[in-house]
Amino acid sequence: MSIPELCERIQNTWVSRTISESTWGYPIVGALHVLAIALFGMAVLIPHIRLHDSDLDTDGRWIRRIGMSLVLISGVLVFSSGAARYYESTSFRIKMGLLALIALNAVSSRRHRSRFNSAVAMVLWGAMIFASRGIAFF
Amino acid sequence: MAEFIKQSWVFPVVQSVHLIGLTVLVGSICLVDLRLLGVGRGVGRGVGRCQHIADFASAVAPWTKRGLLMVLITGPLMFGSDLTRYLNNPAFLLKMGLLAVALAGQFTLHRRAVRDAGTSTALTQKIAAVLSLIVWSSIVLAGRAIADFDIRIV
Repeated sequence: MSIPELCERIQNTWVSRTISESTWGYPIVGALHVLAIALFGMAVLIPHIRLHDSDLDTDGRWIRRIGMSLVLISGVLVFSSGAARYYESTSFRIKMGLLALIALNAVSSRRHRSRFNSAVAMVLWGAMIFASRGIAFF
Repeated sequence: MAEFIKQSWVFPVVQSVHLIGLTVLVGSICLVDLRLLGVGRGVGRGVGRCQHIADFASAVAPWTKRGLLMVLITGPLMFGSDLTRYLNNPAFLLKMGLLAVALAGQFTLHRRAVRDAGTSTALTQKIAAVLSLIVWSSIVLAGRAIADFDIRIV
C-alpha cells in the first residue's frame, strides 16, 4: 500500500470521519491541540533553559510526558481528519521533518545535554510553530 | 502598515510569533499553577525538588514577562490590520474580556498566592491556581475560535 492510499484509509476510519464530518469536530480537536501546546510547551522548553543556574530538569518530567502525550494525541487526531490533504502539504512535511529532528536531538542528548543540544531544541520547536501555521498556506 | 501586515506572508509570520509568545506566557504560568496544586513537586530527582514555590515562580517570571511582551506586540499588530474583522468577532471580544480578567487576577490574587506559598499550599492558593488555569486556557481557546467565528462583511 502506498502512502497516499494509507492516508485515504486513515481519513476514512470511524474516528477521522466523526471529526471531519461534524460541525464542531475539527474546531474542537484543533483547539485542544493548540491548548495542549500553550499549556505544556514551556514544560518542554524548561530543561533547555538554565533558570537561575539551577537545573530544573527532572522536576517536571511527568508534566512534560503527559503534556507531550496530549499534544501528540490531539495532533494525530487533527491529522487523521484530513490525512491525504496533510500529506500533500509541503509545510506539513517540513513540520514532520522538524519533529523527527527534535526526537533525534532528544535521543542524542539523553546522557549528556550540551548547550548546543539545548539551542538546537529551542530553534527546532520555534520552527515547528512556523511550519504549523504554514500548513494553511502551502 | 495595516495593509503590509495583511499581506499574505506577513500575517502568518506575526501569528506564529504570537503563538510562540503565547506558549511561553501561558506555559510558564501553567507550570507555576501546577506547582501550587502540588503537581511537579517531588517528582524525579531534580535540584528543584524541594524548592519553594515562590523561588520557582521568580525563576520562571522573566519568561512570563518575555511571553507577555511578545503577545502584547504581535496581538495589537494583528488587531490593527483589520479592525472591522476583530470588532465584529464574538470570540475576539470574549478573548479581550478574559484577558482583562486574567491580567487583573495575575497581578493580585495569583501574585499573593505565589508569595504566600512555601513548599506546600493552602486551599485558597489552590483555588487561585485552578482559576488561573481556567481563565488562561479560555483565552487560548477563544483566540483559536476567532477563525471559527468570522463574520465576513462584504
